[in-house]
This record gives sequence, C-alpha cells and structure tokens, in this order.
Amino acid sequence: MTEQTRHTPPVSLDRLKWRCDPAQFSFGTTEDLKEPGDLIGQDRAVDAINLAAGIRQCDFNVFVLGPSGTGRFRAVKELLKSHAQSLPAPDDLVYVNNFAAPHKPIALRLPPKTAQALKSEIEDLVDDLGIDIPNLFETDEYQATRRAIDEEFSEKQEAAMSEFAEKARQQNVALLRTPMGFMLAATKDGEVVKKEEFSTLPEKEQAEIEKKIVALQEELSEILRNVPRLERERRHRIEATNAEMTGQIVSARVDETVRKFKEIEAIQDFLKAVRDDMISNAEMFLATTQQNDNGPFPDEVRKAHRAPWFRRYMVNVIVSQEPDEEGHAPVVFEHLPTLDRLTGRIEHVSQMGALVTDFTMIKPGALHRANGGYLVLDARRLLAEPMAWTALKQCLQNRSITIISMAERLSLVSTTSLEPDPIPLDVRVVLIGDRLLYALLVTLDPEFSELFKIEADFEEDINLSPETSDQFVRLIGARARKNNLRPVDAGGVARLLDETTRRTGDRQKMSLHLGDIDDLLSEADHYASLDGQNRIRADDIRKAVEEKQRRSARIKERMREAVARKTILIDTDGEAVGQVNGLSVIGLGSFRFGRPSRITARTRLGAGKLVDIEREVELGGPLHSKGVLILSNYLATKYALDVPYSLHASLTFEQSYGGVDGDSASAAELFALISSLSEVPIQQGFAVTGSVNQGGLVQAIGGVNEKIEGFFETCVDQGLTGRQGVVIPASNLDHVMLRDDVFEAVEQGKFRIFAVETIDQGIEILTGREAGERRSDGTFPPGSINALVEDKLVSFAEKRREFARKDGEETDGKR
Amino acid sequence: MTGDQNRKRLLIAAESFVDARPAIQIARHLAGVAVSDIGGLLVERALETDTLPSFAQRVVTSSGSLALLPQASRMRQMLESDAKAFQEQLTRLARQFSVGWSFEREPGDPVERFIHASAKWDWLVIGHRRIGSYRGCIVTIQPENQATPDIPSLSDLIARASHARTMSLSASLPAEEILKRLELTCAELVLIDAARGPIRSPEQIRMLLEAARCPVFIIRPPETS
Repeated sequence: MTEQTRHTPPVSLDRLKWRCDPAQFSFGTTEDLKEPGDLIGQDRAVDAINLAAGIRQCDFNVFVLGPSGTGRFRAVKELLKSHAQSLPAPDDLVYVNNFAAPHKPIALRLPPKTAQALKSEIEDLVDDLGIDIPNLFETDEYQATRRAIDEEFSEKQEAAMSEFAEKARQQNVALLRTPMGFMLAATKDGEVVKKEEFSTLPEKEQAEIEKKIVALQEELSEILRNVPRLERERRHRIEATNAEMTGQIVSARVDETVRKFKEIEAIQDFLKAVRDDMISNAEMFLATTQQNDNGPFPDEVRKAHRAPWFRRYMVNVIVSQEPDEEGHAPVVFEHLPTLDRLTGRIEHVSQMGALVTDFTMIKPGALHRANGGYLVLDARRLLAEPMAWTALKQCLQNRSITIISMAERLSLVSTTSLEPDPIPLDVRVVLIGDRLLYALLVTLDPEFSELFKIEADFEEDINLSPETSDQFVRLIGARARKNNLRPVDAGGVARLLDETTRRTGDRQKMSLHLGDIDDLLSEADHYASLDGQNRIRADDIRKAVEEKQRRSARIKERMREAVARKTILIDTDGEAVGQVNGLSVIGLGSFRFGRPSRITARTRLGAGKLVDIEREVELGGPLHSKGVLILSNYLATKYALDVPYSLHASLTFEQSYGGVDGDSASAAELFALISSLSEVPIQQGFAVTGSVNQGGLVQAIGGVNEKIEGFFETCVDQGLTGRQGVVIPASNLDHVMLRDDVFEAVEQGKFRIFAVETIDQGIEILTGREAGERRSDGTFPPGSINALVEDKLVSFAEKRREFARKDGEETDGKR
Repeated sequence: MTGDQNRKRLLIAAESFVDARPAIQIARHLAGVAVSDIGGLLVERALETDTLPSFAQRVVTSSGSLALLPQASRMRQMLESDAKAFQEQLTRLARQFSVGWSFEREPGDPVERFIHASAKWDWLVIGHRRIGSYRGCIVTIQPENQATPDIPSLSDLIARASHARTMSLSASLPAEEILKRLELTCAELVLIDAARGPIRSPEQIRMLLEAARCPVFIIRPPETS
C-alpha cells in the first residue's frame, strides 16, 4: 500500500469530536435551575392534544402515537387535567326502578353531588315507613276498622246461611254433609225419607217435595257461589282501607323528600312513582315486622331498607361527585379496558338455580365515569380485549352508553336481561399507542378515522441546539427532583446529553425517550450514593451506562471470545483476494452491538450469474437480496459493456448460520467481488460497512457506531497495528459518536475511520491501488483496479465465445 | 281415663275428612302443649244415597256447583279415600308432636257415636267444615257460677295460635238464645262444657253444630247412660 495511491484521507479528529463540554454550563448542579415544563420538543403533539381537549365537536377524539418512553402518558395526563379544570363537573347518574316495566330501569341525571344524598334519603324514607306503617296497623283505630269490615261481611254470610238453614228446617228438609258437599233430603219425623217411602206418598206431595228440594238446592248453590264474591268484596274493602291509611302516612313522608329535592325535576316523577307503589304494596312493610319478630334489635334501629323486597325503591348510584370533591370534569385512565370495565355490566345472582338481576345490579364502566370529561386508554390493551373496541366505537357513534354483555353480543344467551335507559355520552377519548398500531387502524378500520380525527405524533428526538440543550438540562433537573434523586452536576449533565445524543444515532439530535433518562439517572444516583456523593457526576453516569452495557453483554462477549480464539475466523492483518471484513449489528431489546463477519467472493467464467449463497439457502432476507442484485447490476453495467456478461460469481458470509438481512453489507460484498475479479488483495485490517446503489455510490447505513466499536474490539483482541480501521459511508459521518476508547485510539493513530462516497474511493483504501477513471477512449488506466476488472470480464467473454465456437464446430463435424 | 297430669287425651270426631280438617287444625294448636294422645273417629252416616229419590241424589259442592252423587261403588271408593286422608293427617300430627294416636271408623249416627266414644277421652272436638275463609272468633259458652277453668285458658291458647279474637256467651242464657246468636256469628270454634252448661244432650249438641257451622270443642262430654 502506498500513500500516494490513496486519495481519501482518514476522517480528521475534529470531525469525530462530539462530546458536550461541561464548561459551557454556568450552573453548579441542576438544583440551581428553574424547572421547565415536563415536555420538550413535542409541540406538534401537544398542540394536537390541546385541540382535541378543547374542541367541543364530537368525534375529535385523539390517537397519541409514538414510541414508549417518550412521555406520552404523562403529557396526556398533565394536559387533560389542565383542561378539565375549566370544564364543569358532570351530572350525577343514577338508575332507579321502572315500576311499570322493571326490566327497563330508568336513568336519572342529577346535579353534581346529589346522587348519594338521594340514595341516603330514600333509605331513610324506607326505614321510617318500615316503622310507621306497621305501627299504623297496630293502632286501635285500624284494628277496629278492620274488625268492623270483617264482621260486616261475615255477618252477611252467616245471615244467608242462617236464613237458609231455617228455611230448610221449616220445610222439613235436612241439610246433610257428605265428603262431596252438602245434600238436601226431605225428612219426616226427623228421619230422612227414603225412596220406597217417597213412592208411597201422593203424587202431589211428591211433586211438592221434589220442588222444594230442587229450589233449596239452587238456593244453597247460590249462597255458596256468593261466598268468593263476598270474600273479594271484603278484601277490596280492606285494601282500600289500607291504601287510604297508608296513603296518608306514605304521602306525608314522601312529601318531606319531595321538598328536600324540590329543585330537581327528574326526581319528582320518581318520587311520585315510589309513593304510588308503596301505597299499593303496603303489606311489604308488614312483612318486615314479621321477619324481625325474632330479632335481637328493636324495630326502631332496624334498617328496613336492607330487606330484599325494598330493593325496588333503592337508588343505584352510577356516577357521583363526592361532596368534598372539586367540581370539574373527570379525567379517567382505564388500565384494563375490557368490555365490562369500559361500558359497564349487569350482574346476576343465582337464585334457586336461575340467574336473576335487577336495576341495582347495573355497574358503571369507564365511559360512565369519564362522561363529561376525558377517557384515556392504552390502544394495544383495548384492541386485545374481545369486543371492547367494537363497543367503544358503537358508543361513540351512537353518543350513548348501552350495556350489552359479551354473551348477548355473541348471541350465546337468549334470556332477556335488563334494558336500562342508555346514557347520553359526551366524552373525549384519548388512545395511546405505537405507530404501527395507528397505521393498521387507519388502513384497516374505516370507522377509526371518522371517530379519531386527530393524531398527536410524539417525536423520538429533537434537534440539538443551544436552546434545546438548555431546555433539556432543565428537564434533567426536573426529573431528578420528581424522582427524589440527587441533583446532577454540570459534568453529569454533559454526560447525560452525550448519552441522549448517542441513543439517537445522530450527532445533531437528542433523544426524547424520557424513560431511558429516568432509568439512567436512577442508576447513576445509586452509584453516587454508594460513593457517598451528594450529587450525580459524570463518572456516575458513565458507570451507569457501562454497567447497563455489561449486564447485557454476555452474548457479545461470547462472540468476541469466539473470534479471539479463532473459532470464528476474522483477520485483522495481512491481505487476501476476494475477502473482506463486513460489519453487522445484533440487537436484543435496547442493547445492540456490532460484530465483524468475513465476506468472501469467488469468480469464474460463466453465464452471467451471481450466486448469493445466503439467498440460495434462504438465510438471506429480501433486503439483502436486493442489495446483492444492485451490486450485481453495478458490475454488469460498469464493466465490459460491449461483450456478453460472462461471469459466474458467488458471495457468502462465512460462518454465518443465523440469517442476514439489510443491504448495509452490499458495498463490502462488491469490494470482495472486485478484489476477486482484479485479483488484487484487500487489506484485512479494514472492515467495511455501507450500502451501494447501481451507480456505485455508497449510501448511509444504520448502527455505524456499534459496527465501528465491534471491529475495534476485534482489533484490540488481536492486537492494534496502526493499520486498522473502518470504512463507512460519508453520509454517516454525522452519526459517528465514538466511544472514549475508540476515540483515544484514533487520536493516537492506532485506529482510523474512512468516509467514502463511491465504490472507487473505497477500493482504493482497501487495496492501496488506484481505482481508475474511464478515459475518453473508453479504457481505464492500465493497472488500475477497474482496468483489471474489465480485462478479466472481457477475457471471460472471449473464452466463452471461443468455447461456443468450438462447440459449434464439433457439433457441425459430427453431423 | 285421664292422660298425663297436665296433658289431656283429645278425640277428633267427624263425619268426613272435610269436616275433620278444621278440627285437626285446632288440635295442632294444642298438641305441643296440652295433649298426650290424639284419637280420630270417623262416623259415616248411613246415607244409602241410592235409596233417595233421584232429585235428592245431588250435592251442592263448597264452591256452589251442583253435581250428581256418584254411583254406590264410586261412593264407597271416595269414602275409603276420605277415611285414609283423615287417618294420614292424624298420624302426621301425632308424629310431629310425638304423641300417641289411634283411629277408628264406624257407621251410625255421628253425634250419638261421638258422644258415646268421648267417654274414654278427656276432650272431644267435633269437626265441621267452615264456609268461606273468614277468620271467625273463638266462642266460649262459659258457666258463670261454676266456672270451668280450662275453657278460658284453652280459648286464649287457641285464639293466640290462630290469630283469632274471642267471644264469650254466658251459659246462663237459654239454649235457644245461644243457638240464635251463634247462627249469626262467624265462629271459628265453640268451646263448651257439656257436663255443666245449657247444651248437654246429643240433640242439643247436634243443634249447636248446625247453628255454629264450625267445630265444637267439648271440654267435658255429657254424661251418657
């Protein structure tokens, strides 16, 4: 390798410096800083959330999208709470019995903080009447009235029977009792007249006897038929008396309740229905007394309202504001958005083998609790729950909450349950999810875009500038305070900034994954505490970063060991034809590391086929295959254009058995091919990463830092020679943020970074020979890499033509 | 014969199970506290219904409908069933309160046979079906000067158990007057002391039954020859 053949110098140290200088900060620790808002760099998303929270029209629900850890939930919570303060508290909601149709409970909307008061008042009402009504039936007045009615009717009946008996006696007819009923028989001298005796009587007398017997039978029949009618009349009289007497007491007591809630129209009809029902069913209050006869407590302290038959009067509070609550709109976070927890449910109890329910068993869901305010749901959890998403959409479309169980939705049960009044719905729903989920919903669910008209897209990173740095520094201070951590000094802040930048993989950006920052601060705080420090320093941050890496580095270290022990063959010195060190990144969760791979290329005369061995055995993904096809076409269209493409080549990642994808190694593969064709060796002290296009330009790739560090570690294990380095795309320079040890090695000249824009630049670095530019006569400079490649391809073409000609001659000869 | 010191031997007598039922209910109120033995006596009046003129072979049921008397064979079956039901109720009552029981069935004139059989028992309840479901009162015919101590306490006991009120007629009243008043009274039960009161003979007891139209509880049966 000669210096004069390399036109591309290594990247200067200036270009590789990226660390934040703590000297630029004028504070001692973050304790000195004024606290900012919790969010930075999310103006787009914040504006969207504010719009969704403020706009009053329906269907402007919002989907908050972005990766987790960017503060979506916290931002939503803070913003919505702020908006909720300016909105009035929603009405209280209760369900009460529909006395005319118990299976259709009635929903009442009441002013805030009224529901519990109404519930308590109704309980007191029932308790009071549970004492007053039984007492009423114990009064002498009632007893006397009742007795009078009983006597009146019993006298009527007895009088009728008495008259009949007398009549029968006077007509010499005996009234006989048989198991089947009453029999009437003529008597003579006290004895029943038998048939034989009867037949001896004069015909006239016989006729008379028969006539009177028949008449008496009819009369007795009439009397006995009248008994139920009399009983009915008596019952009605008693009921009327009961109703009149209880009506006075019930009305008087209910009127007390009416007066307490006289301002609330919705309650008046309900109280009227309660009063009417209590009067009609006053015997229920007597049943309470009978039940309690053997109890230890006196009637005065028993709670009548707890008796099951009084459930019909109770108030089922669905949503209410507590008296001491501040009156503003609710912000509800439902972390388990099942169908039941979202829309509510109707419970059942088993009685005598049957499932029964009533209006008191209606339970509210998150939509009820959030009505009039905001409901926040995790989108993935919502979609994972059966029927929940469908139900939510239906409620939003219908603008009412209807409780339908999953069994009913699936038509698994035909039993009619309750049909409670639907509740009008006025809520703003906020779904929080990732971008993939949002894309799927937009694409596959036509209703989604109709109902969720706003998206709040959270950024993952922010441009690095003095202004944003300042904001970020304050944010660090705020989060340290919020999490009860030690304050961070200027060095620690600078180090943290470095880490957030590095996590974006872009020197001009800072990461907005606030969760990661919190984790780093927490761990650094722990190390500071172990060290007896009262502040978090740069060393603590560095240690936190390193320890986190170390915890995840078992696989990386095993791979590194395999290379060091030459189980996996990687050369970092010497040269080889058709062989180059490629670089890849392996990731598990948030931990990623780079590792070198040997890429080899073999070429020979052929019919223009480039065999990608990874693809042949289905270990190569589509992106990798695309990269290989591109470099193949580069070769085919750059060299020997006036001869048939007569190359057979194969490419492979040696000792790779786990599959490869992506095109970031396509430049390396092309270099290996060029080396093989030109028979010029590649310096094995280099590793290459970059994607190539059909024009031979080297394009940006991802994970450039991990790849550089991966090869650096391999070189360290095999010994730094000063001739080693990594070739990267020039467009990745802004992404290079070297680790301290790598930077120091570069600084000391033990390791180098080259940034290239073209394949020609790269091959020059790797081979130390000029690539060569095509001259006006169409040829490359002799001895240049390109010239050697073209010569080889032309020779393949000529040999192939020669073979074809000989083959044709032999065939003709045989004929 | 007398029973345990404080408990009495009670005979329930009736012409049919329908008549016996209210009497058995009365006995139920006493069985747990005042009775040591319960007897049942079913006396079937020899009606010979097929010997009656055809127009008389009809019954008026308790609901007021007219029906033909069944054939003799069917009638016999019904009487058997009636007796069986009486006995079953009796035994059930006796088992419930762990008292002794007995049951007899005989033909004849009911009231005559009732009175005759009662000589071996302390108390006699003659059953009589009630018309209507009105709750009547417990009527006592209590001798004034020769008070029968059992009558008021029994009356109170039964009244309390059946949630009925009580009414008292003086035994000094003429029998006719007593019967006349009873004709117009809705009575649940009539208690008498047939050994002391104005109603003593079988015929008077028969008339009492017809007038009261309810069971009659006889504390001390009349003396029989």
